[in-house]
Amino acid sequence: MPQWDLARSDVVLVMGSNMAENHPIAFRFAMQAKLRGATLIHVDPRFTRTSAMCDIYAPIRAGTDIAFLGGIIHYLLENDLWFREWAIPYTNIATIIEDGFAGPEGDGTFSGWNKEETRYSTETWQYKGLTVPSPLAEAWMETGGDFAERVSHMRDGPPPRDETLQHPNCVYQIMRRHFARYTPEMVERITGCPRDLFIKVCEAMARNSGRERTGAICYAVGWNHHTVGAQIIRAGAILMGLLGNVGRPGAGMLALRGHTSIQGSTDIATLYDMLPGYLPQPHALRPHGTLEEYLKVETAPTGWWAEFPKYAVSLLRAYYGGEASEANGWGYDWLARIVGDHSMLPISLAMDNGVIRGLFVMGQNPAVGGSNSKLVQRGLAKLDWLVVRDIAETDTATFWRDGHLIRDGEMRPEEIGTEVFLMPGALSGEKAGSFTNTHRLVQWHDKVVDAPGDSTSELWFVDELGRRIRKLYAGSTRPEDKAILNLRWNYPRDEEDEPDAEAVLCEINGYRCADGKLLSDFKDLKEDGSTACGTWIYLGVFPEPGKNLARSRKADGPEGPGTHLGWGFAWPANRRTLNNRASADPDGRPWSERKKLITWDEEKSEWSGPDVPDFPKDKRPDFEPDWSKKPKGMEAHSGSDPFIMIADGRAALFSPSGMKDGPLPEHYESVETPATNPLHPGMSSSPAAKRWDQHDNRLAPPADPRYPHMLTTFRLTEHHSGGTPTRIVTTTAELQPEMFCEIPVELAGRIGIRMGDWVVLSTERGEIETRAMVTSRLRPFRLPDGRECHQLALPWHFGWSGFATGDVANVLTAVVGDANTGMHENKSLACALRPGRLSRVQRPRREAT
Amino acid sequence: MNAMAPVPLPEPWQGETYHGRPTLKPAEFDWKVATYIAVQGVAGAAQLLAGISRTEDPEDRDGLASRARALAFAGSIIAPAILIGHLKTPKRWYNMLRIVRPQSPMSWGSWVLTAFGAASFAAWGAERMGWRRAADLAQIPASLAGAGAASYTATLLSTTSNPLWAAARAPLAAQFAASSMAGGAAAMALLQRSAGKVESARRLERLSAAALGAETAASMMLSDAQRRAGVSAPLKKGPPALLHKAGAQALGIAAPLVLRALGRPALASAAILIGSALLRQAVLRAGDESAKRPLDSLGFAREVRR
Amino acid sequence: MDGGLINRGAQEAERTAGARIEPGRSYGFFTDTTLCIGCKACEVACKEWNGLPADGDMRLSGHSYDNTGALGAETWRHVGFVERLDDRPGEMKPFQSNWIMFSDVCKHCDPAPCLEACPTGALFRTEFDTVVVQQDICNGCAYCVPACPFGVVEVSKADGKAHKCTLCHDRMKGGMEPACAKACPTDSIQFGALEDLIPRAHQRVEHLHEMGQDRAYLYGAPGTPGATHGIKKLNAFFLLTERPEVHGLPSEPVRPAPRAQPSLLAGLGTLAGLAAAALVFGLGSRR
Ligand SMILES: Nc1nc2c(c(=O)[nH]1)N[C@H]1C(S)=C(S)[C@@H](COP(=O)(O)OP(=O)(O)OC[C@H]3O[C@@H](n4cnc5c(=O)[nH]c(N)nc54)[C@H](O)[C@@H]3O)O[C@H]1N2
Ligand SMILES: Nc1nc2c(c(=O)[nH]1)N[C@H]1C(S)=C(S)[C@@H](COP(=O)(O)OP(=O)(O)OC[C@H]3O[C@@H](n4cnc5c(=O)[nH]c(N)nc54)[C@H](O)[C@@H]3O)O[C@H]1N2
Ligand code: SF4
Ligand code: SF4
Ligand code: SF4
Ligand code: SF4
Ligand code: SF4
Ligand SMILES: [Mo]
Repeated sequence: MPQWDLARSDVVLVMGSNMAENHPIAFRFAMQAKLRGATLIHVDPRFTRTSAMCDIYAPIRAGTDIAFLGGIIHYLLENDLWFREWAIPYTNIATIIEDGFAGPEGDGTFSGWNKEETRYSTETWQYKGLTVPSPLAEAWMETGGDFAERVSHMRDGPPPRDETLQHPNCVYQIMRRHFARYTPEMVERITGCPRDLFIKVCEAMARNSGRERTGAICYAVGWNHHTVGAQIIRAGAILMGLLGNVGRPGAGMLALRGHTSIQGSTDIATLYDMLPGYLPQPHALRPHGTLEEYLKVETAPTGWWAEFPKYAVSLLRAYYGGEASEANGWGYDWLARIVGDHSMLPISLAMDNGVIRGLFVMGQNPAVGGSNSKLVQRGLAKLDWLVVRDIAETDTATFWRDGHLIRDGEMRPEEIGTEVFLMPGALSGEKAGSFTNTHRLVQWHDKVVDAPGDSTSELWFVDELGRRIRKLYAGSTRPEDKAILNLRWNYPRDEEDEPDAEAVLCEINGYRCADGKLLSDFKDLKEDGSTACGTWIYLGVFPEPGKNLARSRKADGPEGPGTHLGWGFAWPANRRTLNNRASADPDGRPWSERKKLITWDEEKSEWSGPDVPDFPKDKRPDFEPDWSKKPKGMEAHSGSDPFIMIADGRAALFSPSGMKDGPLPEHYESVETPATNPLHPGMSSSPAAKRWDQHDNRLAPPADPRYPHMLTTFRLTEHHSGGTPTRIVTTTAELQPEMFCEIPVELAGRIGIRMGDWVVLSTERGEIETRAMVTSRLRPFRLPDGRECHQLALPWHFGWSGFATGDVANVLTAVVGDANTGMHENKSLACALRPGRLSRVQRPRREAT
Repeated sequence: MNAMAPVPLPEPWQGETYHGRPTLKPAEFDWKVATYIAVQGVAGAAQLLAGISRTEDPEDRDGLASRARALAFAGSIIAPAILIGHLKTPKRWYNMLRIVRPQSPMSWGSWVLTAFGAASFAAWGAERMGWRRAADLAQIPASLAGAGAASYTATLLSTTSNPLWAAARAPLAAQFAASSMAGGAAAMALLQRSAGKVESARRLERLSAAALGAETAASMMLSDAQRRAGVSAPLKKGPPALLHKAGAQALGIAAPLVLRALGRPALASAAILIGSALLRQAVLRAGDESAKRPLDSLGFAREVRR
Repeated sequence: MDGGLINRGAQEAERTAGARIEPGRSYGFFTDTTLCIGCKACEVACKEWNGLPADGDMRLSGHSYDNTGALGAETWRHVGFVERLDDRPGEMKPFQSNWIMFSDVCKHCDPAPCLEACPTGALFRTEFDTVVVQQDICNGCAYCVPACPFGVVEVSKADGKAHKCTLCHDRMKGGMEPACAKACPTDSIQFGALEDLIPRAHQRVEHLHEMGQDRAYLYGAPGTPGATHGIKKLNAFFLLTERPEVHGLPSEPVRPAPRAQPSLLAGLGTLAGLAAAALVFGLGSRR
């Protein structure tokens, strides 16, 4: 949903984000909703600047969101407060699941748990009699037998359903059984949130949903940064699915994304396992040997992802231009294969273990932002070379001189052999390009000033690096070097020797290979190699020469309609609200006048409204697939299946595929926790979470008395992430000049800590010292077993560079990851706290020579 | 809604302040300003004495008027120089003479100073030239300006938001005026004594004693008013209070009386002069303390007094 | 005046603040604390636009999230934080509550005590009814400093001149909304002509009362606390829910100028009395 659409919400639940502080511009729209009478709710371990603006602030212990959300789901189901008319046709709530499915009520694992391999087999999670491909392009999963053949049965007929919801293995009944344990009492025991307050949140959510009203959830990394992060988000999505808060005005899950264009960087595609446009990266250990095999197992038989081959081939054409041909599989062989998890966390370990010899760090500050910072710094110290491209000398660039290894006396600078190259980067105003924001809105920015000195743009640097590397490989006949030599690498440069960023956007947009004509609709992409497209979802952003829609800046006036189609370009197809077919009832009529968006226009026989319909424009609401013809792709979806990217067209309350740690969210404690898990004490944390056990990444067992406090980390509005941009500038540095730890008054009183005192925090990975910020904004909790527990919180922006300094919070965190995403768990862990300072090894002063 | 109807405040003030931080800025008028005020007081009072002496004794047989004019003139040169020295951008001192702002004691004060300087120069210069009539003519504005110069400095302080200074505008002015007169008379007594005019010196010493009496009375009214306004703490405890007690009161008032009783009138006069300078310094420093005390300033602003 | 240099036709301020800037009218801020999220964007925008240096000691103050402390020569917008969480609330009053954030600024008083005190005319009232220090006139006498009842203006140690918010006089001349108001993401700072802002503010108070925030009131609008004892209005006025003192504001600021006359009379009277005594008893030797 667009951020501005929040202004039309009747309830906004901010959970897992400190929205006012970290997304102040988006929060503007939450405030507008408030001015129109909406209820604002903040669920967070800390009372923050967001909480101060809310009608309800519900405190929870870090890492217990699933219990809280599961409790709301339980409340809605048991009190029958969900939006039946919406959820029954639009979600899989009526779908029947395999008989063998069993929930985690017993030992804490779902059916299919393989203890030896510590992973799930998902066979028993499937729709009865079917194998369901995942709703991402990464459809393939390990199943017995021929995957493509098995999923092809999706074309035989609709998944089995019982719309009376009586079948014991229909999703509704499974959910009732699953969430039966999430009673208000249990929610209070696990989360520490007072029961009455929790009920108030349930009531506000239920009251503000339905035909006439809609609600939104805004979340960010307070949800992501957990080993169960993806499941927390699933829990939120289930809640919104039950309440009909998807695809409708003022409704949705707003994933507040981080860095200015972090959405853009996931789209085009910094994730190791994705090609641009969410196409799967070929995997050496999967049936991805040839293009044919790759397309066969990754193409979903039903739903929009059936179009996948067009996007994959067009991408290869964009990569390899004329060198790609049908004969060489459009250059598929030249694509790099992955062999496992190559995300940030394993990379840190690989450096630490001496596997990686060189590292480019471009616009990142891993010495501060990376989990288990000392492990990261040890890794940096083992590299042969390190290139840091940034706007200033970051902590990462000076780890060898001022880092924690040096300060703690673990190493001396002269012992570190890493050759560090610091290269100046240009800031956004010093170069042209685009940002893609949280709302998938692509917005262009021009260069306004020259970058100082030798600073250059990333575009120039990468283009130049590519050119020079290609020059070094020129003439090589080795087959593996073709991957470099055959790249289409011909970006024009302007008078200032700067590559033309719009030319890159044109390539992303896509063109006809024969004559280079720009394409304007992704339906025009072909599987036959006649089209090239860098990122299919961006197609339409540059429909004709000179028409860069990312530059368009026409906002709707006060009279509406408020979709602002003339402002920037929202992928795909300039659509503002995804799944907006769901804003109409199954017959295509609006659920209510107040919440009208896209409706079926019988006269024109098309979907119409102020937004671009996220549905085949002329597909009638009463369309039914002709199953006798084994329909394919969109033909297999009825006219009332709004979720076109999902194989069966319906939102997955129960996730048969795509999740590696369970089809329904279950409360697991974080990997390190002072608590025991009352749901299954023997299975405290997620069994599927990624753990890397090694000497400098040790984990404390659950409820370890040495680490009695819950610790979380957070951002301050005054600083940005690793802190370089804000700590080197006095105007922001002075606003939060020093690292601190937020400590509840009760705990501080008990162990004799006053405001501003030095304290030491420690975990299995290390110790840091910082100042105490004693505050009532944090409050004590009771653990499930009744013991009192305190929540501590650290802003993690600080390091040794710049004006505002402090110890690196990530010295305390561990390299552990979410089973699905590999995301670290820096938002919930256990720690110890004591008053005082660390004794530091003083480096002997070097004699002047 | 009637925009002019005062809206009641939500609830009575519990004495909470913003993290105990000052709500006002201290003026940070330094020792130069204190010295300036003292010198200005002595000079202004001297000019008044010159005038009185002229009416009383047209022949100026004791040389009192002449010496007073010289002292006043010297003061009228030194004092502004010290004042300019305190400016943070002294080379722009003349901007004071750009405008006349009747609401600003600093503004009309500088005009008074200018007039005082000019008239003092005229009176002194004319007498030097032997133009007695002209000197006497100049004496009238010089005395009037002298009176203004000797007393406006208290007004300067009171016409601010500083609680300590503003709380008792009249007693403070009386205190400063009396202290000026005490200082002026003491200075003239010293001069007369060193010129061998003992009789005149005695009379001046008596005048300064009377002025000290007036100052004491004013001081009592002042501390009473400050106490009632709840702003007197800076003069009770801390370095300014010590300065006030030891410098202004003990050295400036008590010591002269004792010294005189002990037959050391010259020392007594000197003590008066030093005491009157320390009084100003104490009041300035205490004012800065007062500005830093949020409870004083906020409390004072509730108990409105003007 | 038309749009200024940057904008032909519509002024930028019309688009960003819905306010047209014309000399001769009164402008100011309506700062609504109930909308403030304490993001300090106003504070940073002011420093950036005006090229102001840091003035803190780069130490944690311990005063909640306020580390810049107060308005001063180098801080012309300042965001204060007061935590009110001892009762650990869950359900709260609508709009900002329990962590009170308040963006303070020079009040551009009418009449302005600082201006009335200034002996050089460096402080003057502009064509927009705002109060500005002319840097090329100020001689650093510092008399405006104790004059201000709000502790706003200060003489800089760096350049020896008085500094404070100019209400972005330079921007206003160019038809632009002041930097702090433009940066404010929640419209807690609203810039405009007072004739528009004052009724809007009264409406906002009523709205808040209706919603149950019964403690909301205006501070500094004509006839409200803050505009008292000779101060007719604060061109930068506020909507508060706490006592003014909680934010370090006097509940009834007083215009100092009227104190001058009685003070002067008392001083002159004392001198006159002593002079009379001197006349009566004589100063010279008796012959
Ligand atoms: N000013 C500013 N803005 C930023 C950034 C910045 O550094 N500074 N960074 C940008 C980036 S990269 C990102 S990713 C986003 C992140 O935006 P946010 O997610 O809003 O950022 P955080 O402050 O890291 O975490 C949000 C909140 O999660 C809470 N929290 C911690 N653990 C839990 C939990 O278990 N459950 C719940 N419900 N809440 C929890 C914390 O107390 C904190 O208030 O912000 C972006 N915007
Ligand atoms: N404990 C804990 N750890 C965390 C988090 C947490 O919440 N808690 N949050 C995590 C999250 S969500 C994130 S996103 C990461 C962020 O961690 P990082 O990405 O490591 O940190 P940043 O400081 O955002 O790094 C961005 C760098 O880019 C530079 N830069 C800015 N613009 C440009 C440019 O145009 N060109 C170049 N070359 N450089 C530029 C900046 O100066 C800065 O140094 O940290 C993660 N780490
Ligand atoms: S810092 Fe930039 S990206 Fe973040 S809210 Fe402000 S304007 Fe938006
Ligand atoms: S607040 Fe102070 S500095 Fe600002 S106009 Fe009023 S008196 Fe002058
Ligand atoms: S310091 Fe400058 S602005 Fe202030 S009163 Fe003196 S001359 Fe005027
Ligand atoms: S109006 Fe301008 S000078 Fe005044 S606080 Fe705002 S940004 Fe700063
Ligand atoms: S910019 Fe607005 S919301 Fe942010 S601190 Fe300033 S007044 Fe408050
Ligand atoms: Mo992020």
